[in-house]
Amino acid sequence: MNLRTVRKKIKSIKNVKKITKAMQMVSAVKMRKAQQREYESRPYRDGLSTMIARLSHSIDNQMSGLLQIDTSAAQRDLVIIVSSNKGLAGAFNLSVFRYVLKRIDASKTDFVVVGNKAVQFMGSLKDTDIKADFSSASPVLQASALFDYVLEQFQTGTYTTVSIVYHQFISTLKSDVVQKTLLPFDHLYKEVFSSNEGEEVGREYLIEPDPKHIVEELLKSYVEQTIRGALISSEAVEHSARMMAMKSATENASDLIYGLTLLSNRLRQEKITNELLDMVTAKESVESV
Amino acid sequence: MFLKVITPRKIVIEKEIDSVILPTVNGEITVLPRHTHLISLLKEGVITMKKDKQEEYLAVGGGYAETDGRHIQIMVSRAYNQDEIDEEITKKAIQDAHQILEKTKDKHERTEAASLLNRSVIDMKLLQKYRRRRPSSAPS
Repeated sequence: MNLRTVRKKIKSIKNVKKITKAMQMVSAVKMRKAQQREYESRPYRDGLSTMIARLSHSIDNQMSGLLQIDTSAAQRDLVIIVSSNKGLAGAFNLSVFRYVLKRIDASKTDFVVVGNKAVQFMGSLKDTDIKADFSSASPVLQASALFDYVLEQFQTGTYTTVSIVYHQFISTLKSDVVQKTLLPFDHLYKEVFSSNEGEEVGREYLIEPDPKHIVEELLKSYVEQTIRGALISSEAVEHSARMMAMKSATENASDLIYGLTLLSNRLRQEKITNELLDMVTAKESVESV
Repeated sequence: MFLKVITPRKIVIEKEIDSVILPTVNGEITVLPRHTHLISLLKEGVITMKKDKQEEYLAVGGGYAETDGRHIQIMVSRAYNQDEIDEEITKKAIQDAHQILEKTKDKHERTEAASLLNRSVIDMKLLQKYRRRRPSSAPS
C-alpha cells in the first residue's frame, strides 16, 4: 500500500465514524423517550390487572364471549411477530427470527407481522403464511387496529391460540425475546393472578352496569394493553440495540484509524529515509569521480 | 378520598379530593368518601373533582372507575384538563368532522370522524364549564 491510498482510507473511515457517531446519539435520544414511555404505560396495565383480579370471584366463563369461544375445531396458531422497520440494530431482528425458526412450527402457524424487517424475512421463507402486515412508522399507534384484527380472527374459531413474539425490555443492556399467549385468556389470567397475589379477593363489589358488560370490556382492554405494551417494549429495545451497535461501530472505526495512522506515519518515514539515501548515494558517487 | 387518574400514556392526577362526579354508562354519579365498593364502566365525558369548594375538570375518554370508599382509581383512554385543550383547534376539529361526515360514505372514515366529533364536543363542554366557574380568569 502506498501513502496516498492509506491517507484516502483514513479519510473515508473518519467519515463513516462521523455517521455512526451521529446515529448513536440520535438512537440514545429515541431510546430514552421509548424507555420513558415504557415506564409510564405500566401503571395503566397494572391497574387493569388488579381490577381483573378483584373482580375474579364474580367472573365465570359464561360471562365473556372472550372466555368461551369454541376452538375445538381449530388446528392452527396465530403468531404476531414484532420487529423493526430499519436495520443497523445489531442482533435485534435476528434474535427474534432465530426464536421463530427454533420454537414455532411454521406448517401449523399463520403469521401477523409488524415491521418491515419481519415482512422481508417471513417473505423469504418457504411455506409461510403472512396473514396481515401492520408495519408503520409508529407501530404503537397500530395497537388497537392490531388487537381488533386479532380478535376478529380468533372469533372465527380457526385458531387455538394467538400469541405475540417480541423483545421484552429489561434494561438498556439486557432484553429477552419472549412469546406471550394473548388469547384464549387463560394464560394472561394466570399472569394477572401471579402479579396480584397479595390482593384481598373476597371483597364484594357493586358492579355497574352489570358484570357481563364490564368483564368483557376489561378483558378486551387488558389484551389490547398487553399488545401495546409489547410494541412499546420492542421499540425501546430496538433503539437501545441500535445505540449499542453504533457505539461499537464508532469504537471500531477509532481503532482502525489508529492502526492506519501508524501505518501512514511509517510509510512517510520510509519515504523520507529513501529520499535521504538517494541523496547520499548521489553525492558519494559525484565526489568519488 | 384519594383520587388517581391513569391513562395508557401516564398517570394524570394523584391527589386528595372531597368528591368526584363521573360520567358512567348509566348516567352521572357522584362518589363521596365512604362510598360502597364499586366498579363501574365510564363513557366519554367530563369528570368534575371537588376539593375545598374548588372545582376542577377533566375531559376523559371511556374507561373504568373503581372505589373502595377511601381510594378511587379511574382508568380512561385519555384525560385532558382545560390547559391542555386549545379552543381554536377543537373548534376546527368539530368543523372538519362535520365536513367529513357530510361528504364521505366510507364506513371507516365515518366512524373515525364521529369519534373525533364526540371527543371535540366533550372538550368544548369542558371549556364552557370552566368559563362558567371563573368568568374573570377565562382567556379571551
